[in-house]
Amino acid sequence: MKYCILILLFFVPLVVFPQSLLKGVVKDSNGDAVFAANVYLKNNPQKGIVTDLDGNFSLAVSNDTDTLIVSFIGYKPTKILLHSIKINEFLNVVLKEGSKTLAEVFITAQDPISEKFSVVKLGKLNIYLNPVSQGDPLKAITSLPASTTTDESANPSLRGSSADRTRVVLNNVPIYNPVRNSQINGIGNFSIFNTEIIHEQYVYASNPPLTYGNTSAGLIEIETINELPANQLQLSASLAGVGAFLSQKIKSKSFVQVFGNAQFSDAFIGANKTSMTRLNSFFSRDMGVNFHSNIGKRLTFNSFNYYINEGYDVNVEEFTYSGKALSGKTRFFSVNNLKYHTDNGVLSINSGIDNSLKNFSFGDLVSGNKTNQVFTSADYRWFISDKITLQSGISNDYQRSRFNDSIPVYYYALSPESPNYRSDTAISNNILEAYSYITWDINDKWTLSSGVRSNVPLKNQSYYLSSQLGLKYRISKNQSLLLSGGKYHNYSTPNYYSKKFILLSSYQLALDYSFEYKNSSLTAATYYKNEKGEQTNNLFFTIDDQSTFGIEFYYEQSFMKYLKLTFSNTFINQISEINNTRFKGEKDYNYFIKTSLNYNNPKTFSLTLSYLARPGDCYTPVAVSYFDSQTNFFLPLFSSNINSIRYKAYNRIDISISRYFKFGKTALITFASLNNILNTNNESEVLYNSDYSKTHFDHYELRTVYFGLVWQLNY
Amino acid sequence: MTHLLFTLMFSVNLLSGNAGINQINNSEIATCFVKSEIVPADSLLLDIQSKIYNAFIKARMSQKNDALIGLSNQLENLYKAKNQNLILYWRSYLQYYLSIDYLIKADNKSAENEINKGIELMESVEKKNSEDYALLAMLQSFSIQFNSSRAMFISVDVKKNVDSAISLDSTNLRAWYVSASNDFHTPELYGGGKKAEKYLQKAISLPAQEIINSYLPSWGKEESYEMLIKLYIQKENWDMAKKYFQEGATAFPESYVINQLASKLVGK
Repeated sequence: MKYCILILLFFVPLVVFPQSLLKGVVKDSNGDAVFAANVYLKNNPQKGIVTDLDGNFSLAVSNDTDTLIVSFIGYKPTKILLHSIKINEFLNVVLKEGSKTLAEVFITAQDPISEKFSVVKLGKLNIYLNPVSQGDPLKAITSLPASTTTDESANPSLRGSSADRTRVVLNNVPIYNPVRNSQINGIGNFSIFNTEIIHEQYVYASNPPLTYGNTSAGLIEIETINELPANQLQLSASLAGVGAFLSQKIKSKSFVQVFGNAQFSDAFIGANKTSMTRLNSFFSRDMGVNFHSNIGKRLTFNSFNYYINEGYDVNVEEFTYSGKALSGKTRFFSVNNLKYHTDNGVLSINSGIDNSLKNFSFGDLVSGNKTNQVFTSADYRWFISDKITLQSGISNDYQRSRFNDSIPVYYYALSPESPNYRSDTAISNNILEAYSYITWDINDKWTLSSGVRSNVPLKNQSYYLSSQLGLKYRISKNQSLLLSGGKYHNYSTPNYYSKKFILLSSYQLALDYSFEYKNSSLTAATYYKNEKGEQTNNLFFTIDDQSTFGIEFYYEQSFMKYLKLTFSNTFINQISEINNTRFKGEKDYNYFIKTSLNYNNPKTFSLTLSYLARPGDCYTPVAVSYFDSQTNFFLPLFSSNINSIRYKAYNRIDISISRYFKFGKTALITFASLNNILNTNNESEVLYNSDYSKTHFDHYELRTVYFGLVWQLNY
Repeated sequence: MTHLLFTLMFSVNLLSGNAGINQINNSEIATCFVKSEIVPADSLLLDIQSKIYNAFIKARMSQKNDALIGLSNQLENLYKAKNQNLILYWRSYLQYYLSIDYLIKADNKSAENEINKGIELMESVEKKNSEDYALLAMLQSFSIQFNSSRAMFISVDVKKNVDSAISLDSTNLRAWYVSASNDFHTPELYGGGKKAEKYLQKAISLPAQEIINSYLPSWGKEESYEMLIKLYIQKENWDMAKKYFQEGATAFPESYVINQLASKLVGK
């Protein structure tokens, strides 16, 4: 009996756990075989096997209480209880793709939904190494063929449109008039943005994505950094000021950037005395704080706050009066963003406040302008699938502008003794809009985007609906075509000459081509747009309708390791209309050449030589004048032949050089630039003698020299 | 240039009788929770990483890249028959070695062409997984030396692909290694050199493969040790350099690229 039990015990395992060969195939959800997938038993992983090229496997199993696991990179592991299947039958295993991880959502959500439809994307380094940027993010745009800025302002004019039709957006919040030391007409030489805070800057030269409203030309979308590589202190000094910039991590998930600059003019004007005959002085003091925090795994918060106090004293000649113009401005704005990342989307809540107070005086013209803006928006971006993303949202943009002016009774009589009258104007506008924007990667070649944006009319506003369609076709790995078109709306920004919020609109159609091959890249574009709405640029003319047809070409070639040559040309045919009378538009150019040669060796130095040539803008001359005994000034009457004369053709050469020195944890960057080496006149305005019988021209900067250094401490 | 140096070391490595630096050693196997057996079919792809490396060594020794080209042709033919992304991965990985071979021979033009072919292959992979992104980023990073003036643009692509690799699999040591390498080789002027240390420490803390699988990549750990030691030598942080040298040399006792750094640590 004892032996019987022993014999029985000896055979029990064989009866209960017989060795069987489990055969099967592993495929993905498309039915394609998965090669090299791991197939193993949970309790006996050492005996695992790997699928062959056809996805087949054979695995010896001896325990039907075990669990079969099939796994491969990029797929969710599949677990199968052995007792739930028939071991002798051929097993079909379908691996499902892993769902988007939260980390992936973070990465994908970093770029705007419309990224594929932007013409250019500029990172921080692109801005610093740009041939004409002088380290300014908005000035970097002027090197693009799409930029038609001719007034040396940082406020971007894109593809022949007025700068006021293009919007600059910082972290989803529009920043109106984004320039420093702006003049009465909004022109300013540098932007208010510090490149150190920028992660990416997207440029939409035409067809601005309808994820944003209030633009009918182009869009500049700026995103601040979401990750701080290291702590750093920077101290800078230049011919025109001093500054400090601190980047500091706070624990592991937050950081703060604090900066401040004081600009002064004595040294800069002293060094460029012969070139700056009109500028007496300028100053600015600014301070910014950018705070970023990741709160838990899903929530991020960013707050950017900026304060500036600035002013200038300049000799101005307007009509026949010449005198001092004094300007002072104080501005504070704050942009705050809260983003919540779900498993398949991102919810953004954005807010912005912008308050400014500006004073300007020239002769008998005294202007005070107080502006307030409150912006709020909420967007949800939903990654419906790998190929389809939908973003919808609402925004409310409240703007108020109050002007306290003393306005010349006679526009041509500007001396302090001339009569003026008091005018107080308070205006406001509330733009409430909702939108939806979708992108669909149809296949490897085609991507479609479409957006609609509508206002909710408030008070006396008209209803409008903006809509757009974009189609991107990847001809090959290095070639693509982008066709986009749509209808867009925006309100003008009030200024001294036009104290109104005027609804503007545009129809746009654009075809952009890009090609990249090894060290070369080429882009070309052609576009047509029709812009409607009263567009008031000065006292005399208000354009109702403007059509622009343009062709752009850009070529870039890198060679000999550190050298890069760029060349671009732009042709623009622009027709404007006033009261059904057509005439040449202000920005009508047969050529607009920009070229640069850049040597950039991080171990030695960086040197850029850039050249620009274009015809002058068009202007309308004074036809006749009459002596007005009441004012003792001549009264000019402008020609009905509008924009019949051009300013002189303009060309300039700039050179800039910088060098980086490293000393352990510290570094020194030195830079110098010589602008407008040829000392040519970029004519800005036609001026007249007292009876308007003779003309002479005002102009922008002549040859200027600028240099400075930045000291960095990395810790 | 580190890549070049790294490659030059390979040649000496072969002469010293090392069977292949990318092999996983016993200490690593202990960290894996599964050991798989390979189905004997599909022999071309079995231990393909070592095969590519050995073909490269042959090319170096004979001054002819026939072995690499031959292997590349075989992989290409196999891909025509079996449309598997993994074959594209290995073809692309082989292009990296072909490029290095040309670079050593100072034929920069061919080296650039070969690495670009590798990038093109990886870019053509649909639904890239973590390993695909990591290799693509490595090839792009390697290609920067042929196109310094576009370095910052390529570097942005490298970072994006590396981020994708990490987001898909945060335990993929090759993703962390490439991320570190990108930072290590980015000039400080352009914001580089700040994260390599952290990323390399992360890389060496991870297993080369979670489940040992001879069809799949296992490179990156030895290279991570090498780069980490070099980084500390650069920083003149001798204690840390010695610490990771000892660790690396223990994990990869026959590694030339690690052992040759010993001379720089003597007396420090």
